[in-house]
Amino acid sequence: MFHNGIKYGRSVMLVLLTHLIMLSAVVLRGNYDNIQQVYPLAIAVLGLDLVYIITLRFFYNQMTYTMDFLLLLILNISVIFQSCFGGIGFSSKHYITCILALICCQISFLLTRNHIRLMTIKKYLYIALGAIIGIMLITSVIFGRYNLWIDLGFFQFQPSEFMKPIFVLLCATSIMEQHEKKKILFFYISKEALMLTGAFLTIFLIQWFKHDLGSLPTFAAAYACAVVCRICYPKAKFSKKMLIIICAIGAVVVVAALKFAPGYVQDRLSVDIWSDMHGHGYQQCQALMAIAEGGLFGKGPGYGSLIEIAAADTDIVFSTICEEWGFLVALLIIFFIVSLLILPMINKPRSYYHTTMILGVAAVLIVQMGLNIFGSCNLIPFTGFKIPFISQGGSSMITCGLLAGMLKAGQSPVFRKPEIPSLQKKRQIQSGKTRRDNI
Amino acid sequence: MYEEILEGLRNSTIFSIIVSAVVVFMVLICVFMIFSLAKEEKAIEERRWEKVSGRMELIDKKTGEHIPLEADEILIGRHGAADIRFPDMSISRYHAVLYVSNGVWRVLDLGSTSGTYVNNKKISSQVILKNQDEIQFGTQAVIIREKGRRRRNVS
Repeated sequence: MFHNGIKYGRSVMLVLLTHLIMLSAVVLRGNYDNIQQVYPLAIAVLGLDLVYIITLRFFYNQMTYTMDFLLLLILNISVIFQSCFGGIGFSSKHYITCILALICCQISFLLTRNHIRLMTIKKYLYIALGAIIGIMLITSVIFGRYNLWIDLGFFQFQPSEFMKPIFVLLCATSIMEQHEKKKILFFYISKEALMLTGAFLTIFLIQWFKHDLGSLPTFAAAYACAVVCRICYPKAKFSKKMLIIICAIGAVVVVAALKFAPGYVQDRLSVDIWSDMHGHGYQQCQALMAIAEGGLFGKGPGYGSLIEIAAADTDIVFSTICEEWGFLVALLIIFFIVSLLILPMINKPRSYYHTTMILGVAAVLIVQMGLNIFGSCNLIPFTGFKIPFISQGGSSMITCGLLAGMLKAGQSPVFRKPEIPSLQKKRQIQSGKTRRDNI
Repeated sequence: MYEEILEGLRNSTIFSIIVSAVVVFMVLICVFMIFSLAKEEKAIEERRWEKVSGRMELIDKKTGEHIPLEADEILIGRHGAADIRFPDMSISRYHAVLYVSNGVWRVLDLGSTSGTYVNNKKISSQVILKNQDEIQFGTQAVIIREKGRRRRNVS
C-alpha cells in the first residue's frame, strides 16, 4: 500500500474518467427521448465509484487496492451495459447485486487471506457444502426435482451457485495436509485427497439428480486445478508420469460421459441450430444474427432488438452487447476477466494454499466465461451459463464477488503487525536497555 | 438544434467508429494503468514482507551455513523436491513445514520417523518459533535467528 495517496488518486481519476467516457458514449449514441433519462444511471455509476473509493481509503486499510479498482471498473461498466439494453434506463436490480458483490468481495477477502486461520475452520467448509446440498435436496422435494431456484417472494436465488466458492476453498485447504499420506493396499493416499474427491463426486451426483450437468465443468475445472497443484507439489518435483496417467483417466471419463450422457444432454450436444431455428436452436440463431447485425461498432446503446429474446441479459448477454455496442467493445469483456485473473500473477501468492485458491478461481471464471461466449457463438452446445460480473443475476453476482475476494486474498497475503505484541514489546524494551547501556 | 446535430451524428458511421475507439482506448489505458500500479505495489509489498516475515533465517549448526526463509510455507525434508533439503538418512522425505503468518514463524512435524525437536522438546503440533530457538530434524540441528544479529549459540 502506498503511503502517498496521490498514486491511488491517479487510478481513481482514470476509473472515473473511463466511466464518464462510457456515459458520454451513451449520451452521444444512445436511444433515449430525453437526456434526463441518462441522469439516474450517471449519478448511480459515479456515486458508487466515489462511495466505494472513499470507503476503502478512510475505513479500511489493506495492502493492495488494484483488484478493487479493476472490480469497480468492471461492475460499473456492466451496470452501464445492463441499463442500456433495449432503451436507456437504469437497471436497479443489477446495480444492487453489484453493490452486494463488492461487499461480498471484501467479506471473502477478510475470511480467506489467512491460510492458517482457515485451516482451523476447514471442517465448517464441508458442513457448509453439506448444508447447501441438503437445501438442494429439500427444494427438490418441495418445488420439484429439476427446480434449481428458491423463491422467497422478494428474492430468488440458486443455492448451487454458492457451492463454487466453497469448493474452491476446499481445494485450496486440501493442499496443505497432503503430506499426511497413509498406505492403503498398494497406494499412498492422503485423507484430504479422498475427502476432496468425495466432495466432487457428491456435487456430480447432485447435479446429475437435478439435471444440471451444465455447471459441472466449473467444478471439474477447479478440481483439476487442485489435482495438478497436488501433483506439482512440492514445486521442484513435477511428477510427469502421474500427470499423464491422470490426463489419460480424465480423457477416458470425458469420452465415456459424452457417450453415455442422458438423453436431454445428447439432444443439446447434437442439435443443429439452423435446421431447428424455431425450436432448440432459437436463442443461438438470434444471438448469432445479433452479433452479425451489430458489426464492429454496434447499432448504438439501446437500439438492440435481442432484448425481446429470453435470457438476453444473462445467458446470451455477449450477443446483446455485440449488437448494441459492437464486437470491439464486447471483446473488452474477455479482456476484463482475463485482466482480473492476470492481476494476481503480478503480485504472486507466497503459499501453496493461495496458489491453489487463485488457480481454482481462475478455472471457474474462465470456464464459465468460455461456456457462455462459445455457446452464444455456437462453437459448443448452449449451456446457459452467465458471464462473470456482466450477466444479470443475484446468486451468480454474489458468487463472483466472493471469488473476486479470494483473488484479492491470494495477491494480498497477511503480513501485518506480528501476532505476539508482548514478544515485540519485550524486544523493544531490551533494545532500549542496550541503547541506554551503550550511552 | 442540439438534438438535430446529435441525430445527424448518430447516423454517421465515422462518428460510431470514433466513439467506439475512444471507449476501447480509454478502457485499455485504465486497465494498463491499474497493472502498472500493481507492479509498483508489488515492490512495496516485497519490502514489507522482507521487513515483517523475512527477518528470520536458519543457521545450520554443523556448517554454520545461512539458509534464507523466503516464502510463507517452506517444506523441509530429504526429498529432492523439498524447499530446504538435508541429504541425511535420519530426516524423512517430507519431514516438517515452516509456516509464517503475521511475521510469526511456526514449525509443524509431518509425521516424520525421527521427529522434530524445538529446544530439545519433541513437538506434536504447531509450535511458535522465537529468535535463537534450536530446531532439530533427525540429527540435523538448525537455529532460527533474526538476520544481521551476532550468533550466540552456534558453535
